Amino acid sequence: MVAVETVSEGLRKLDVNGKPIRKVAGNARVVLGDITPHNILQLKALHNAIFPFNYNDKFYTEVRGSGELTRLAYFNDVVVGAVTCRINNSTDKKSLYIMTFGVLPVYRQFGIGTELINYTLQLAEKDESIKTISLHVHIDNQLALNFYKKHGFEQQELVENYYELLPSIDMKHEAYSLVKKIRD
Amino acid sequence: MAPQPGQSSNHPLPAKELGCFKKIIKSYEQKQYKAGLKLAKQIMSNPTYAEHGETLAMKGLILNSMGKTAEAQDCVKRGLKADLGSYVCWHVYGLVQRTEKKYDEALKAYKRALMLDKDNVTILRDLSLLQIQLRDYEGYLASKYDFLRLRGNQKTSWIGYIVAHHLVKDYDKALGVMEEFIKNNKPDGYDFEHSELILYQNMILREAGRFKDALHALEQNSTHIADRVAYQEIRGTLLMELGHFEEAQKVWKQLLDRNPESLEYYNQLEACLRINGNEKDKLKMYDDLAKRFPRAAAPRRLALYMVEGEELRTRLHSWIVPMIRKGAPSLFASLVPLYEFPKKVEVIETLINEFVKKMDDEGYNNVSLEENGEIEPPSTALWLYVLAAQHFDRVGNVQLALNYIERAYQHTPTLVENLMLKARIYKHAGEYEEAARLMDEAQSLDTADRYINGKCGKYLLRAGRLEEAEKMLSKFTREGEKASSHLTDMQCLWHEIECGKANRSLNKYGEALRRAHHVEFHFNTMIEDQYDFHSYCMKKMTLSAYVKLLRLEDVIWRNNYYYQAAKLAIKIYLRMLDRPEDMNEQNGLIRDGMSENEIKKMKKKLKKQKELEEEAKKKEKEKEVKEEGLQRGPQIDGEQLLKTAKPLEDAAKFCQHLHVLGTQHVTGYALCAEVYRRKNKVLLVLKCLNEGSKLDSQHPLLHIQKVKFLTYWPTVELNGVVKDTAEDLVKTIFGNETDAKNLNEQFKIANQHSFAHRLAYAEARSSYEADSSLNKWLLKSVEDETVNGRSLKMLIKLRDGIEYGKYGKWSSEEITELKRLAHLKYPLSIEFGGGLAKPKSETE
Repeated sequence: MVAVETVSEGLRKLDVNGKPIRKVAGNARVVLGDITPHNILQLKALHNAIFPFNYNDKFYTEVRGSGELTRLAYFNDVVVGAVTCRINNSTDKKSLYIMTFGVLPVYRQFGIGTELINYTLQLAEKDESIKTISLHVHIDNQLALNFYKKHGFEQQELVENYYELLPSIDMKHEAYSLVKKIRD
Repeated sequence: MAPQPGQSSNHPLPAKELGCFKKIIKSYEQKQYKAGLKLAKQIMSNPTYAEHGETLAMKGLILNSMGKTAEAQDCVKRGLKADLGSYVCWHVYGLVQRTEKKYDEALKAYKRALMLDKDNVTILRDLSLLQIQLRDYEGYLASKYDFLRLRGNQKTSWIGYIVAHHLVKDYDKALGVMEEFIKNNKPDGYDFEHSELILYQNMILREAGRFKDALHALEQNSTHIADRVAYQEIRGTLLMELGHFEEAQKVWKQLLDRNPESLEYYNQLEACLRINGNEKDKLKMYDDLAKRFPRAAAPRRLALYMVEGEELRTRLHSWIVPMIRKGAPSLFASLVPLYEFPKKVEVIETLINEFVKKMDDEGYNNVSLEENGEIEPPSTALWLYVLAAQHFDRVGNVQLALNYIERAYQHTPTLVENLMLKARIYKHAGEYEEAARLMDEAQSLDTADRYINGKCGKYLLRAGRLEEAEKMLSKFTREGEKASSHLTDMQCLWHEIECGKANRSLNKYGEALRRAHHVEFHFNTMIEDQYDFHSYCMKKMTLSAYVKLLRLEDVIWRNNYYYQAAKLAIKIYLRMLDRPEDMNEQNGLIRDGMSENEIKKMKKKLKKQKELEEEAKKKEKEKEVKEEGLQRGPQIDGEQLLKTAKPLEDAAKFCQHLHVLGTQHVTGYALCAEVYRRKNKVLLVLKCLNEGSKLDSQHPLLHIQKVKFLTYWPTVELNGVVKDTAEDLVKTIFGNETDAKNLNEQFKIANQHSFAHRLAYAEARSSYEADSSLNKWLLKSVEDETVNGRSLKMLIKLRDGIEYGKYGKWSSEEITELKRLAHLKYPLSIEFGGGLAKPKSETE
């Protein structure tokens, strides 16, 4: 059994700024659930559909055992989004790093991303040793930049070769680093 | 009173040995079998008692419980021979015969034992259990009478006596004893057993036809009845029996308030309103109920099946929209009954096309399927495409079905059902390989779901990939054990059937037969399992349920899984007679155009493979025996089954279960008729033809049997009553048309638009005359747009039938032409050389 928890019901269609515009018919339900070895390939299918490159097996092995650091978002019982995080201990400040974050294109602007980011914020707030949440966004991904800024992330330096290691993909290699301070 | 065991014989034991003997009985009761055997040896080591009857009997009984049946038989027989005057020896002899399923022997032995020890309650119990198991109701009643006489102070004695009277249909006596019993066993306060007893009393009253008394008793005892739903249901039924429809209606409505999804209650309510036949009133009833139960699906769904045209369209619209928003897996299933009517299918298709067009025109991010301005959730488009794919799959439009499932996949690539449905579409198109691959992918997305795991196993079996199926299914079976033996332990019937069919496709007829026999074994086990209930239900007082169980077991062979297994087995036995060379697995693999050398090589390879398999099998068995001490489950050997000297007899055993209880499948009767004709059982053939005709007089397979019978009938010599009966039946079935040829020609004209009937005509005709122009006619039928039912399944049947020799002689050009036509019509079917292009590495 996958542990699930309903996070919202009676959805509204939102505009790009997150303002509700129209009521959604029926009783659409958004639920967040665990990642397990049993459904890990659903996460992979989701990633392959959202991102222009594939994550390697090592990534999925890590995610598979990451417990509450990873969540799948279900829309009416179908997996449509996910967030995967890791704890970064590399610097002196412990931080929650968002490795991947995404919702299938047709399911965007219904507040599912917001539910996922809220979950991540709660995760960070729960653990007192975590000082910041950080992530990287591709330089051309304006929608994502807006989304994170709206949720209190601050744009930091440009990392020039962030996507360099990716196999021959025809896209720029720069990414912005974004950080949200949780506590001092 | 007979003497104690151990001394009851003509050969009493002295004190020391008697002590030993008593210990043997104790060890047996406590299942300390090894200790028991040791003690027996100790007694028999004394030369005077080396052949001591009762000791031998006890030894046999213990061996029997250890599963060593052959040794047990030997012991109890010797025991009996040594001491014919001992009730112990007879009793034990009976017990061992029962385990061996020699019921008549057992019955006789018990009775003999009782003659020697008239009031032995243990033997009496064993006897009565066997009697009820064998449905010897009169005997059971006599035993229960003795029980009551001997143990009148026990509740169960009375209950058994009541049940026995009920079963021999002596309702008055049953009710009389029941009344007496209830009088003496008044409950104080809440008493579940008393409640069950009251309900049972009511069951007997109803079966006696005493509805008024039943209703009176039910209402009077209302407060004692714990099962309120049963109370209401019985009350509703009784009120209807007595013609109080107004009151009955109230009862069914109250029941619907509790459970508005019960189809039974809706049926009853319909009957109450006496509106059977008046569609308009009926519809109004369902619409009123739909208003009363706004959240219930049943009244809305049932109403769908009563309307057509514009009305159906409107109702379908409001039925489908909420379901595709949510993604209700039951949506398509709810539409399936409508597919029987082409006009209704049109309505569905038009509606689906309209929805899709609206999505396309307005964009699924901004569309609304209802007029209230609320935007559709993104899942609406997904489930609409899924529905469209299911629809086009159902009507046989493979390309459109695949297009829609692809759109669904593009929309939401994470949905497991997309892949499952895609697999299903390929399966229907005959691309078993791709179907299995897709189902495997679906399975990989949710490996915690046993349903998909089972589906995947089934699809792999359909693709003939037996070992992979085994591996797949083992993810959910006991660890360290072969999946198929675990599934056999669990009596998993679908798996037996699918394995049987898969092996048949691979020409492994022995293994296929073994699977069919497994199913038979499982049903026998279910019958055997009743034993546990005969005494248990008496104690628990769940008597209505108990009697229902007995009646279910009486007709358990009617179950569809058994029918499937019987069909599989009978066909193989017939093939054994018609085409004995097929039974050699190698022959089936020899293809046209193989060179001598290739054949030789293949044979060698096969032989080696077989040896390896045997070796593995043997090892496994040894392992099992070692671990378990004894072998579990059916010990049936496929190779042995193939070596049978009397295939017809073996087939007839399966036929027996089909026709004695009556089957719903005309094909079942047709198969039985074939077997019985070959066995010269004229009356049985006629019975099967007659019963089959009652179900469907124009059934193609039954028609073939009728024609074959008419050719055979003039050669039959009968006399006396048999002759009269047979002639009467011939008249009933055939009327005045007893000429095979005429019957066949009439059949042809009456059913010219059905492909299945054309095949039947051709097969019937080939049975009495050779005419190669039939081949051309059949080939034309394959192409003929006016002929219905030219399904992939039927084309495969035609091809297999040609190979079998059912349709006369076919030239290789004609066969090639058939394959070409079939391939053209079903390009994805592997059977006719089609399918998806395989990646190169796989084909090489």
